[in-house]
Amino acid sequence: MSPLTIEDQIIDYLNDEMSSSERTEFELLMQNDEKLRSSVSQYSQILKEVDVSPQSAPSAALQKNFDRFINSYAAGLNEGPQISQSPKTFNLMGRGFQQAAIFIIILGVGLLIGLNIKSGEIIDQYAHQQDIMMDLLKAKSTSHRVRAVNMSHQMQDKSDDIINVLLQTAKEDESPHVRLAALDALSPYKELTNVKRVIMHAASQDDDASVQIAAIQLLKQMDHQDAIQTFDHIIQDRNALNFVKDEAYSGKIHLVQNTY
Amino acid sequence: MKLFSTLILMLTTLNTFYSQEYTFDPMSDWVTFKDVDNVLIKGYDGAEIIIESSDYDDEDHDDRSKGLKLVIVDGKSDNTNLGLSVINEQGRVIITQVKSSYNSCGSGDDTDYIIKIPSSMNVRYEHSSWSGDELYIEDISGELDVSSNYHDVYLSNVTGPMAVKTVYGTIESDFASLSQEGSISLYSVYEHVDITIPKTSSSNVKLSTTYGNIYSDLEIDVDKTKSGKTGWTGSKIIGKTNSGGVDLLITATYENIYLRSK
Repeated sequence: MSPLTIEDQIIDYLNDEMSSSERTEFELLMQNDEKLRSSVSQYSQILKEVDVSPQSAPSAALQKNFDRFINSYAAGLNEGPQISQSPKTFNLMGRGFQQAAIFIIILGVGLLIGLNIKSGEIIDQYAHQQDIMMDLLKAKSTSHRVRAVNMSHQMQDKSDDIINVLLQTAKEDESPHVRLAALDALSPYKELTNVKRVIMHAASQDDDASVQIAAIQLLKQMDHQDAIQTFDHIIQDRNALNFVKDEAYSGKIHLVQNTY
Repeated sequence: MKLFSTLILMLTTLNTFYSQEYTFDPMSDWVTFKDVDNVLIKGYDGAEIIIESSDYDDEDHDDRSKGLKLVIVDGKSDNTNLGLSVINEQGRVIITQVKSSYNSCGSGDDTDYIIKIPSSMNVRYEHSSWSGDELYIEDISGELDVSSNYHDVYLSNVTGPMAVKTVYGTIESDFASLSQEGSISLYSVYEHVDITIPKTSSSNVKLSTTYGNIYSDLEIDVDKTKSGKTGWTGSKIIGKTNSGGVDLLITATYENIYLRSK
């Protein structure tokens, strides 16, 4: 593989754009190649810094100095080292240093531009996926709305907008299939207060038994006293179906056993 | 599946003896079935909806009801004379069972319906009570939306898109192909899900069980970072078949998942 290919692979790896098989293969390579591990670590650091750094233009003074530096370097190249005012040995070391500095700056700028373009592409792609998801959620077809909810699984670090849409879907979509899918998509965020509230609401209030049971299963994993209250509410609910009550009993026993 | 085939054959054979039939031209591309107990919904190459019943006995065996009308509280009527109400309006077709198939002796009277619909029609089936045992859907290329608490659901020669869920029933499905138009979701809480798809089907699979196991003979490119054990006993498999495609979501909370190739 050429160095450029490795750079591309590192960026793809860090941006989570590899297929599962490519990712596995790349991780295997990393295990056996310390240099690659080190490169990945450096790129990861740069990527994080790019993400957190505000976009800013250089100051006028910095721009002027940089231009002067570039011009003098270009003039130096044209004149050759023999006309330098400095001793030859020092001059050669300075030239080498300058070349290295230029190389690093160009490489750094190129890398930053590349990463910014990549980040921009990711943001565009994310926005595009979000648009498609929102459109599909309005579809009459249940399977299209389930597909929309499932699209959120591919969005890592879901934005608040996406989580709010999923919360709304879990509560309000007319189809139990879609509400089930939304609960599943929310399960990684079940410790968030607003998500927990919707799960508890689904467990005790949803009019579909499958959705209630799915919500109870999530509550069982949460180990919260709030969940026990929800289970008690279901157990005492005269309108709750017997098998839903059984699930609530089971959930309550599970949580009580874990508590004591 | 053998039982399934036998039942289909029996129902089809019984069809030849039907004397009662109700036919109409649907005014929508969706047909909704509400609380229809035992039914085979079968796609065919035609434009009408044809309702047939193998053994609907009306009031023949209930002398006390002779001369009286069936009283239905929600304003529907048995306008098919088969114990079913049909609403056929612009944009919606709803078929509701209005006469209980549960008799006073405490057992079902085994009224079975065969309802033939255009094969490209979309089907919505809703059933929440414990009456009725099985739902069969056969030869349908439209979308399926099935929601039941107690029915076993048997699908044959279907393509999706579909969303099928049942609480106490099994789901068994033999796919002609996997439509790439919308997701395919099959969900059972207390029973197994057993499906067969063509070996060449492209899909993004998500198989999930909390207390059961997952079995398959398909080549699944498993995403190991997202797959694995869930809790003490469950499993989750996320991956792709044939480089990925439509979402294929299968959940059997308490039982096993069987994903077969053909």
